[in-house]
Amino acid sequence: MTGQWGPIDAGPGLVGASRAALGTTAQVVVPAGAALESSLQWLDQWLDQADRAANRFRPDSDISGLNSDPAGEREVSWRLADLLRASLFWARRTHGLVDPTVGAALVAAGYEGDFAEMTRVQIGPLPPGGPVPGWWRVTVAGTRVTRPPGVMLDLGATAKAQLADEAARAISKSLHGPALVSLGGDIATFGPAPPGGWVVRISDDHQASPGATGQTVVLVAPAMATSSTAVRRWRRAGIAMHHLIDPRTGVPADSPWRTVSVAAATCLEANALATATLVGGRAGLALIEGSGAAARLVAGDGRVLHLGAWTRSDDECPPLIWPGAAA
Amino acid sequence: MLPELPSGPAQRSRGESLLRRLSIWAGLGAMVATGAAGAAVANALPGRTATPTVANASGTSSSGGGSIPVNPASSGVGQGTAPAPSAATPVVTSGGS
Repeated sequence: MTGQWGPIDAGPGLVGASRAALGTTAQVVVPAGAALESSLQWLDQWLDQADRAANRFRPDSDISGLNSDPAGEREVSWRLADLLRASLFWARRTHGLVDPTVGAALVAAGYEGDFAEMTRVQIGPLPPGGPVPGWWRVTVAGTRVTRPPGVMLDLGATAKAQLADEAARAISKSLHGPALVSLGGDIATFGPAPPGGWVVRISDDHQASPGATGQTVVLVAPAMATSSTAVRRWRRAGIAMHHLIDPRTGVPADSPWRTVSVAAATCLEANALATATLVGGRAGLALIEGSGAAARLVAGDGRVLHLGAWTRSDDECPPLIWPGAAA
Repeated sequence: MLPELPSGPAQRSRGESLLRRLSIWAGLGAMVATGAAGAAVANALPGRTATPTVANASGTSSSGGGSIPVNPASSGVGQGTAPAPSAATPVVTSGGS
């Protein structure tokens, strides 16, 4: 995890910076005149601490040690224990649609290293499939993790969002003003919104050009996250693969949705609901509706559905027709 | 000054804990209030055909025979998004990674 911060165009009255981190992009935006530089130095240490704890592709990370440990119990760092505890909480809340025990399924699908260095056309066998071990087999008591040996954990569905929440909160409190932190397009804000609000672009890819298909909105909720099968794709034995495993089948989710964005009270909640909806289809939709969150869902054919208090845009054509109450 | 790197999970203030509880209760309220709408949403998967009905900006869904509330609680608890002025510059992009 290395990289230098570079400036980003954050618009009038704001300053921001971006760098590569956690296998994706970290961005921070604060009001112009705020002590951005000190925030970046702190964020460097914060991200490094998280990387050492939860990067599955780093041999010396805490989670790699846990995944390769043949013992049923292992003491881990407080950072990994905290990230894992949150992951298990959301696994329960999403009825297992977001499950940290998908690690072995990801490896079987061919996602076994840093995506930037991964072979995009693989000739290995197709993943065998079958349900993943299950989040309920994992317990965290303090910093002691218990799970059946061989269960491989991956916190990709929750860790970045949780870290974004925590970093935005810490920076906002230190600057006594608004702060926005985005980790791979999972966005957390804290403090009063800047004049005009936080203007956010929604797209399939968080690194998409400004002209890419999507929608521009003002964020009313404190956080937003997007899950998409349009990025981190590769082919294995001639079959298209992506990184969002359906825990029920153990293979990349066969979803009616291409991209799901959720606005919610925290980035962690938003990301868990977005991933659960993309993976779970109808079950995920019910989770969003039950949570009171707002969502924008893009079907495989590009049609868009808005749920809850997500603003509708006239330029989002063709919209997905909402079924009637009698349907 | 930014805090030292923590050596344990962050502790929330009493005010934040209260806001968090309120958010949870608002969510529970939404679950109760949108029972009928939830059934409709569950059928909204692409490929399904149904009586054409379009959700409008006021948060209701009209279908000729009346209207049903669509997640009314979420519009009052600081959730969701609002329209952006046409000239507004996005600060960041939310997308897959």
